[in-house]
Amino acid sequence: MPNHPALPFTIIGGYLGAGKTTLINQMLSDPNAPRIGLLVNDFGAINIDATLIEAEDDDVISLNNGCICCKLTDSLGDAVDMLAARHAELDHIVLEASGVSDPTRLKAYAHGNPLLQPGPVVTLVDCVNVRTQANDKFVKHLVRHQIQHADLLLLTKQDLLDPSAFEPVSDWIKTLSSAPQVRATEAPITLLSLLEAAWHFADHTTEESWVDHTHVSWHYPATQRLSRKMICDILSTASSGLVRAKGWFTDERNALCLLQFSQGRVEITEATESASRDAAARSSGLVFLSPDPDFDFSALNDLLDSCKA
Amino acid sequence: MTVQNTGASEITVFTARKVITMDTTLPEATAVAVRDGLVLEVGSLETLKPWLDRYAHTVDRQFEDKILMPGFIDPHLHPSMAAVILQMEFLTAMEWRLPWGTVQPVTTQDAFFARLKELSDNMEDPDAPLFTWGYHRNWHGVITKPMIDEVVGDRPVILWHRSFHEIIVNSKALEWMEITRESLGNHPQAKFDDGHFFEMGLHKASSKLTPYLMAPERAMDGLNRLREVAHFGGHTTLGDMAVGIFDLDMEYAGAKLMYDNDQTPFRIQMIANAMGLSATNKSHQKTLELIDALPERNTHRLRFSNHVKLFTDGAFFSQLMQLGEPGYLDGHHGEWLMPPESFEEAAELYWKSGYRIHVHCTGDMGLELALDVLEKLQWERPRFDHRFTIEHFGLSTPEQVRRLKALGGCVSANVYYLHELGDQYAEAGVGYERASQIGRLGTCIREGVPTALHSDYTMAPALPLNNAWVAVNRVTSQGTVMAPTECLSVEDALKAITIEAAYVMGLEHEVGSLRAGKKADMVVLEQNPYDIDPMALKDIPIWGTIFEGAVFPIVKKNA
Repeated sequence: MPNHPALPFTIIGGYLGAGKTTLINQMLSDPNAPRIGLLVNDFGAINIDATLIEAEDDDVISLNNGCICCKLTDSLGDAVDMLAARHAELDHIVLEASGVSDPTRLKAYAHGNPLLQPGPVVTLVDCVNVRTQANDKFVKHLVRHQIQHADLLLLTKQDLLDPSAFEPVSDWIKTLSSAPQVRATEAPITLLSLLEAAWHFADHTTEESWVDHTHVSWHYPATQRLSRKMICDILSTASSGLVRAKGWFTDERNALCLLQFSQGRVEITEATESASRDAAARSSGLVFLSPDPDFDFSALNDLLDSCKA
Repeated sequence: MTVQNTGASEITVFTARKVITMDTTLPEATAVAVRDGLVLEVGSLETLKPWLDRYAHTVDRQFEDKILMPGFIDPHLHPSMAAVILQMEFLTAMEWRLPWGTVQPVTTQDAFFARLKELSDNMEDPDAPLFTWGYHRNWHGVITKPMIDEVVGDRPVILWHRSFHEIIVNSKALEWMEITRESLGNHPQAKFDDGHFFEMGLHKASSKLTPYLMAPERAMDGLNRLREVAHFGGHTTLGDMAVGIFDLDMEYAGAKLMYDNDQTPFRIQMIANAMGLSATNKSHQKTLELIDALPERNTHRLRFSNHVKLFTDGAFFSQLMQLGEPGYLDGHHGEWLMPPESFEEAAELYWKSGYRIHVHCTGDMGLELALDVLEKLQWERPRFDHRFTIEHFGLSTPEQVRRLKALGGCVSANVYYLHELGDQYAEAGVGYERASQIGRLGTCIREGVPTALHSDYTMAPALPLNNAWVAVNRVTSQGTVMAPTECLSVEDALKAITIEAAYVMGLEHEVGSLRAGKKADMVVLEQNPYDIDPMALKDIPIWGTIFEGAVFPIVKKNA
């Protein structure tokens, strides 16, 4: 146990229809996803490509991208402990809270296990329906509570809204919660980038001045070798539009490197231990976070492509 | 007189001081003729003559100074849960009359510890763990591990809370469960020093305790005890109102092994837990298919039918029911056990498939959801005689009762909530007005809503006369009479534990009253409930029962 750092534990909540299952399905089909131990409410709703399945029984499915899916049955606590016990095989534990649960109460499970590092609550919010739900006689308290107690809000279904309708919804959510809002851009948000953003905000929510802005995040797969210097240059020039970047890439000398960019500072460190090497290899790719909803990620994509060493 | 021999079994005639039939056409009689487990005729030895002249018979006069009633029916309890709790010693603030002795109420901390020590001293095995059930902070104060250690330090002690949602244990128990300070980390709801495990922290202990309590020999012992408890209360029919609460196949197998035999003086109507089953079966549609096939498993005593169980809001004992305005005194909110949309989807599926739906509703907002959905379903696909039943019926408004009547619904109430929680919820729950109106049963009767009583054992004692006593007198554990306008008459209360209880489960053609053609199920009482002070209703001695014509005396035991 002492050889392994505690596993980060993130809770993904939100009322029915907020897109939790969609997010999870995206994660499960992502070959670059970190190795996630995932606790889901219902196997029936998730859509697992049979070719990805390595092993399967009634309550646990192991995928060949390193993810382990575990169904919540009688005891959520037992399921959390079971996954925590497999910490050497995992990078992260994600708990999908049921649509009617209070995600903040579920945090207790992580506090109760020394193998886990309690992390943020991410609440998904259905932009189209949230205001109706927040006035519904049966679920108004629940839906508001889920928003009020989130560390990060992921606004979903924006594409189904009239563009002019988004800002009012976003502003209305801000009246309930000052938690940062992230919205999926045209490209689907990856779980990795979401987790990165969630952990970042959970660490920094008080010190950042831009918490009441909507943020967008983007994942760059970084499948080819990249030049360290060129990455530094790009980040220093693009930094006005980016608040945070993090992830693993392979440099020009084929060394595995960790990139961390925060508050205008770029830090690149080489992976040394084989354990982190293994972990990094499975979660390769860079995540970028911008407060500007119109940030031109496609230009960043071109720039990064041009960094090929 | 010629007795024709047709090969028919012999008739037994039970005579009694009075037979209370619960059949309004012939409410009273003095004799019941029984053959092959069925009532041939109710009347007197005189009026039974046409049968007795034709067929061989014996007259059983052993109940000539007693009262016969239809066997009591509890339409809502959970044998598999009760089997777990019945392995524990009851150490509670309320009186619990059990077949093996009456447990006196313990309402102070000193008395609690004195009783705990006594229980431990009386155990033969010096190492066996001592489980108790019924601790409650309001009565017994804060209790922590070192306090228990001081009283009982040499064996594991596990105090299970009244609500079943928390436990407090001593040092020896932590050792026995192999729980260390390190293994609990800094869990906010599992405290090593206090030995206290609650809410989300409960699993830290229950994952060690459940395998012990669910081990076959103990579970079987628990089921055996439930058989005694049910018999002791005068029941001849039970409703298992959520089969599949843990594991459907395991529960069915346990019931079949323990109850499907001639030693069991009751039958169990098994109502599938459609919410729980849908979680393991991926969809409501697949669950429906599974439930459709359950009647294939029917035996003489265990029967599935076209009834299912759904849920709206959280537990009444935990103050997790959903309330309309103005909510709880402290401003907290209740919880939904199923998302409202999911409840609606499931209800629609079962409604349109012809099922009779029972909905767990504890607060008035939980009830509101059930009513809104029922109204929508009646609009889309009107049904008569659908027996849509509100289970528990904790808090409600008069207008909701009227609406329930208009929509054709029924009520199966746990009125004991009022007795145990009325004072407490007035002070620290919902305020006096609403607390005093827990179990609004008088309004149900006035509106003509079919109304039954249940125990949800161990949420209430499995003593139908005790529940009837609460419904008639509305007396709390502190002796307060609350909302006397909602009291039931003795007759309505007796109906609620017999014919109306049968009705909500769809069994009224077979049980719940005594008339020609029904099951010969009876409870034998020492006093006539109509002739006594209604405050003495709960104390009527029960001699025993008759199940399908077979006599089952209650054997007096001394614990």
